[in-house]
Amino acid sequence: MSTPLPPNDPATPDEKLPGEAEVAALYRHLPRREPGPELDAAVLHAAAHALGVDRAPLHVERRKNPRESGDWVHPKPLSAIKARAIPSVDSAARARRRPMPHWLVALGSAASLVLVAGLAWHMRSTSPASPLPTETAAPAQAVTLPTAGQAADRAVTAAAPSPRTQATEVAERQSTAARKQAAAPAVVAARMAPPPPPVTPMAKASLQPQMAAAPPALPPPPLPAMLQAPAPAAPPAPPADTVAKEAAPATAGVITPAEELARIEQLFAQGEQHEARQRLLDFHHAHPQWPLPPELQAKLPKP
Amino acid sequence: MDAPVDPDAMLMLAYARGDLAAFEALYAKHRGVLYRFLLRSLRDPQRTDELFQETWSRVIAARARYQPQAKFSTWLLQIAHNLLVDALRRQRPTADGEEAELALSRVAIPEHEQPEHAWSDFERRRHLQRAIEQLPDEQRTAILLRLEQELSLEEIAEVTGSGRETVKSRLRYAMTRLREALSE
Repeated sequence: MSTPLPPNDPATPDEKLPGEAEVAALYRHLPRREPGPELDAAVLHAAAHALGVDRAPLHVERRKNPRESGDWVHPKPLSAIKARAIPSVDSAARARRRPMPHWLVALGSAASLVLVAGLAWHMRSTSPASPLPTETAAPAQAVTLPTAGQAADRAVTAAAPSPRTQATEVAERQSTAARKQAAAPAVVAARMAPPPPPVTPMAKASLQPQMAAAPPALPPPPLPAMLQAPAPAAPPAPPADTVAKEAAPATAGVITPAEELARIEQLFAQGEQHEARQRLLDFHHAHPQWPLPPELQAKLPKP
Repeated sequence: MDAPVDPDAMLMLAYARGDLAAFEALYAKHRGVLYRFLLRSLRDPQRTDELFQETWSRVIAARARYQPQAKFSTWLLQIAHNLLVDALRRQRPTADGEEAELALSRVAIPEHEQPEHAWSDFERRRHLQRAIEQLPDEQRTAILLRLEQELSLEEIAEVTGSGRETVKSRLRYAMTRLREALSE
């Protein structure tokens, strides 16, 4: 046996409570306070900010007279709002990203340059020697022992492949005359030239006929030909001088440390102790990390 | 049978999709009733401003997960009511009767309704206002939702998290007190 519950249908309208109509009518006449314009602006700004829309700066309408019932500052119409389209995810992320400081860019660039220069120097000192342009100019003559004069001729030819002018022929004749005078000035010129540290010993060693007769298959030492060019010693031959100056740096980077060590060992074997020791010292200064054979290590001066 | 579509819920969904104008329309419609509900419950204009702003902030923050399962106004008042309960629990001293009356009476009244023009009405409203302030919190909330928002018993129950019969009882008690105050 059960007691039926009272109907509880939400759809049915609520019955009015006793006296509710009178109280409600009086309540509607109570002052109807509204939020202030600052509050309106703050809420609307928050709503716009949540959408990523930049609203215009908070526009607060200052009231001069007391507020009246039903008087409130309406939000600005949409047309008055300079609302942008909602930015995409990418652009929002880009906007959030902090700009990179300028000093960081400069530091990064400098570090990159130092790294590249260091790598280039390292590759240059460790890579096998590449054939020289002078050798490609006269590969067949490498078999024979080139004299200083022939080397100078080749240098002139390589540097000036264009048809010979009368001036160059005159200059060649003059350089030939100078070549006949002596080979010693060439050595002096080689010593006076300011090549990179490993090059100076190489230039001296190139005077040795054994070195000049190295087989062409190996990294060729055409440096003697270039450095023995009589151009510096022959003032009346400006074309040769120009050629020698241009060719010298090109051959400077050909000699590898291993070759240099081999030549130093040869100098020791030939009894040229002073020259060999000097070159060994230069080599050790230029390549302090290069492992030296024990016999060469022993010849280094003790620190 | 399809439930009738709540236009406010549609506006809220539009705002969630990025339509700022929809929010502006929604705000314009509900700002006054929400503000008065909070003001008459708290009787403190400064705290009313804080809770009003906090209520709307929560609406904004919840836009993405808003599901129109109830009327928007019910949901909005639910948020406000929860904040109100928390605020009342913090036991901050509320304005006493005289101070609250003064705060509420600062609201400008149209000149034709000033006491010298309509003395009896003014007195009756004053009595009503004071009687509402002196109601217990639950009864005051229920009567304000009823009078200000004109909510049904079910809606008041939903907002306050109470049963329908409890709401009905609170309303009866509140109405009796108000009528007594007006008859004095």
